[in-house]
Amino acid sequence: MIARLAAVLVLISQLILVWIALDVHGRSAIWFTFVGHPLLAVGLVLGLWAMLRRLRRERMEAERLAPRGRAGPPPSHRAP
Amino acid sequence: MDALGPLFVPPDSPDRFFILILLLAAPTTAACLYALVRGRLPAALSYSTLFLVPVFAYVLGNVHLLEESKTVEFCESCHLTMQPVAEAMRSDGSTLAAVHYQRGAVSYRDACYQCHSGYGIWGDTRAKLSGASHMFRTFTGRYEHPLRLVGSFDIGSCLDCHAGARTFREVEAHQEPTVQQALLAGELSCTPACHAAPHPEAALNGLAAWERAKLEAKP
Repeated sequence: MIARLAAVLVLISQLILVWIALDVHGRSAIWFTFVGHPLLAVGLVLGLWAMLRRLRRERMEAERLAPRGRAGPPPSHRAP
Repeated sequence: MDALGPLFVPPDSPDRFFILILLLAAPTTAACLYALVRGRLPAALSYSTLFLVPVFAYVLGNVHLLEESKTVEFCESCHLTMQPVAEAMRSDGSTLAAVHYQRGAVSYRDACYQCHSGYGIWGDTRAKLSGASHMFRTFTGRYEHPLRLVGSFDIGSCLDCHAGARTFREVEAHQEPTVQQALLAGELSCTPACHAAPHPEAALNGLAAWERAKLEAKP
């Protein structure tokens, strides 16, 4: 959900950027300066947050699985 | 003007800067669409690519805006406030801005910026900051008519061209030490005491007032 929200915000900011690239006028300049910049900033922060959450989740998952891997086979299966 | 032939059309520099911005915006847009559909960012791209490319694209966008916002066309695109001023500069021959513009004494493309930016790099910086302030006032609707210059006009813009000109140096009033001091200290300005007003009053009162003034001026 957060990643999607970040994607929407950054996407809108990029569309405003394309507008300013193709047509520099008062209206596009105002949108670019006062709407595009905040959208990009918030979108990137949310994107970063979504990424960090995913990384943390992956690390926790790896830690949860790791002890089983290190414990080795049960005693009944160990070589004499 | 076009009807007179291509010699009378100001040369247009081929600006292809926008292509670079579009090339940078494209991968970010693709990544955003991917994230929108999948609910996560593409794993194949590195984090630096995902975050630096859109930021760099915005930096280029700002450079593009700073350059293109120097044009008269850009200034007059805020039509309620600036369009009458630009129109007066083209049509009315009595004001100082019109005299400079119509005689080609200032750049046809960047006339507003050339006079209002002040001298040197700090003049450019101040002009850009005040331009951002104008945009904010337009965005929030916090401006009043008639438009007034904040502070005193930086005569460095005038002196940049006129200081070395013989016609300027030969004027007795310009040689007067007290006048020189007052001008340089910002206590006295070139207009309207000695020279014509820079813009007609009606144009500074907004589009409606300007249209009314034009109708009244018609015989």
